Parts: sequence; structure tokens; C-alpha cells
Amino acid sequence: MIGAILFFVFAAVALTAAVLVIASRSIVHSALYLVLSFLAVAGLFILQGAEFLGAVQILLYAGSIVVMFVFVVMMVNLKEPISLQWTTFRSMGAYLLGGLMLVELFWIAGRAGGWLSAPSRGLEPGQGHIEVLGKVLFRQYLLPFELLSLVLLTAIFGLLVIGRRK
Amino acid sequence: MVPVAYYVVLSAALFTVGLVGILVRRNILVVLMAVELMINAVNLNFIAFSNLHGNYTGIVAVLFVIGVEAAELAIALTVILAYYRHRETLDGDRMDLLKG
Repeated sequence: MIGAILFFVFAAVALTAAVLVIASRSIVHSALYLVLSFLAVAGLFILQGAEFLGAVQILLYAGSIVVMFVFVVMMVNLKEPISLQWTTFRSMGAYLLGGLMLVELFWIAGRAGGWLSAPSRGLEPGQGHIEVLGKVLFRQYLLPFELLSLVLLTAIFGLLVIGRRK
Repeated sequence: MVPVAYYVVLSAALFTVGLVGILVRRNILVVLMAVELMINAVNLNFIAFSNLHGNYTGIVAVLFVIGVEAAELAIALTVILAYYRHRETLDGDRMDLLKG
């Protein structure tokens, strides 16, 4: 019961904040609403037993990624005012595409049948903790994990090359 | 416990909001934020199905998504900064250096 209430609260916050990210005129406001949306989704993660992932979500998304966004906003100097064009021909096309995709996704989910509305089995307590995940990452998924570190290293070199002032 | 269908519906809605944001907004930073929203929606689906099957594979998948996505975002922001130094604009419609 309390889980259902929490789900609806988090879902409402996440969705409202997502719409406000798109709709607000100032980029800094967008970034702050992005934090709110990420925090609500982190709450949904924790609600489903993925506690470590919720913590990572808060630290990485709501923390560092949004800080990166705000830094870029700070470094660029936006002289031109931001104009929102919600009623142009192009925006109508965007709404049409979005609605079409929503219908499509719901149609696919509807075809999936009754198992979607069945209650979840649920993660075993502790399966979302870092102890279990660490063991899995370093045994079963060792190669992708190490490749990921290579990806991050390449990204750092790329940043240094691209971001260098001539 | 809420059935997984609720999470699927929420995730689809968040994904659609991100898609509309990408198509409507012209500021390239807001477009990137909309991409973040879409990735977040996908992660939510991974966790919901991980929870449905009582299995941690979805959590591991999300960890990899987060890692790759952090690298992607850092590079994207750097490219935006470098572009801004050249052309003094963040308008996605006016980024047409490769048009020929």
C-alpha cells in the first residue's frame, strides 16, 4: 500500500519535472528540473530494491552530470534570448510523432498479455546491494567491465584533444 | 508491490517527453537534457523487468548504460563548447558547418 503511494508520488514528480525540463525558458531552470526528475527516478529505483543503483543515480546523474551542464551554461554567454516555438508546423510534427510512438509503445505493451500486470517477483533482499553486484561485475561481466574503463579512458583523451585551445 | 505494467507506462511517457523535447527545442543543451531523460526512461524499464524476474542482470545493464552515457555526455559537452568558441551559437538549427 505504502509502496503504491510512493510509486505514484515519485512517478508524478518525475513526469512533471521532465515536462518542465522541456518547457522552461531558462537553461539553468531546465538543469534544476532535470535534477528533480533524476531524484524521483532514483526513488523509484530504491523502491524496487536496487538501492545501490539509486545511490549511483543520485551521485552521478543528479550530482556530476547536472554540474557539468551548469558549468557549460556558465562558460557560454547566451546573448540571444531563447524563443520557444510550441505552435509552429515543426512542433506539430513533433507532437504527432511523440503521440504516435506513445500509442505504439502502449500497443506493444498491450499485446504482451497478462504477465505485465502480474505482481513482480521482486529482488531478493540484498540483491541490489554493492556486495552482490561487485561479485557479479568482477566474475560474470569482467570483460565488459574492463572494456568500459577503456571507453572512459578514451573519452578522457578525446576531451583533452577536443577541448584544447588553439 | 505495483505491477510492472505501471513502470512500463511511466517509462513510455518519460521517453515520449524526451523525444518531443528533442524535436521541439532548438537549444542544443536542452536537446542533450532531453536525451538524458530518454536514457533515464530506458533505465527505469531495465530495473522494472529486473524486479519482475527477481534477477540482477538488469541492474548490471543499467550500470553499463550509466558508464557509457557519462563518457558520451562529457564528449558531447566538450564538442558543444568547442563549437561555441568557433561560431558563438548554441542553436541546433544553425549548426550547419558540414552543409557544404
